[in-house]
Amino acid sequence: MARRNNISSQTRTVLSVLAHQPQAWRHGYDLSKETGLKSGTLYPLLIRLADQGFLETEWRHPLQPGRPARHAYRLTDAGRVLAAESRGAAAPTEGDEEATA
Amino acid sequence: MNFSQMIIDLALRILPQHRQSWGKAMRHECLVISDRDEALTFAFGCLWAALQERIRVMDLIVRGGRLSVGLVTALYGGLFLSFALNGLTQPQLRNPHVPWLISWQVAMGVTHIAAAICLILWKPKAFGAACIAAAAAALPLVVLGMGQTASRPLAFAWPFVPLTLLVLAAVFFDQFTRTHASR
Repeated sequence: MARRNNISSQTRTVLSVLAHQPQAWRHGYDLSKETGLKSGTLYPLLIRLADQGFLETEWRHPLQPGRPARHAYRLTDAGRVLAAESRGAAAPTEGDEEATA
Repeated sequence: MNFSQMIIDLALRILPQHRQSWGKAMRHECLVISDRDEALTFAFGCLWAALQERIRVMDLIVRGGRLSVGLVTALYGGLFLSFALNGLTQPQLRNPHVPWLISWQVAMGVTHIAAAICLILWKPKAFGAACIAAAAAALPLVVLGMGQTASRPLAFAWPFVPLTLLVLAAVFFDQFTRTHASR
């Protein structure tokens, strides 16, 4: 399991976006637009999260015929816990910034 | 086939075998991007992702390299120990230098085997200390052992060549790992 203090800010962003709608399947390009991360950063993150059991993946066929199937992602239960913990870990830092402002 | 698809296909070739499904995911994703420039940017990003995955596999090559070099070094150290054992069992050698020669052969053997273990387990400080000890052991061995029979440069250099190669290999593997460290 990934150590919480080793989570990069990009990983936190991806977790946050996926945790926003935890039951929804998200596609890579949509995640890239929403997180602002380029595919070269996003896909290694997704691969790591899937390897560590925080992300489940599925090929989803489109409603329109003739369109290609797309790989979709959503957080596992462990991934949702990690997302909640990473939000909690980031919160004290935001509180400190407000105190010093 | 457009240029972005060609880039994605290149990424697929670079990706390790166990990541091919992710490559197909990237390719299918690129197909749905209608804007050509965005598709190209996406494809180049996927190529970068593929290179990163390929480099991660290379970490295994570094570990294998350390193991191979370490085993060869351990064999080399073992040879010195066998020379020392042979010296101990040769009663006809009456040279007063022989006990010192055997001592330094044992020192060479032990320090090289220690360096080999530290390289395989990658303990940099211990490895450095073992290499310094091996160099210290080599110097008297050269003076006592080969100085009388071989040419001066060869007499001085021969034990340091394998040691230098060992250190260079360790530095190379370390630098390679640092350059391509995992996220």
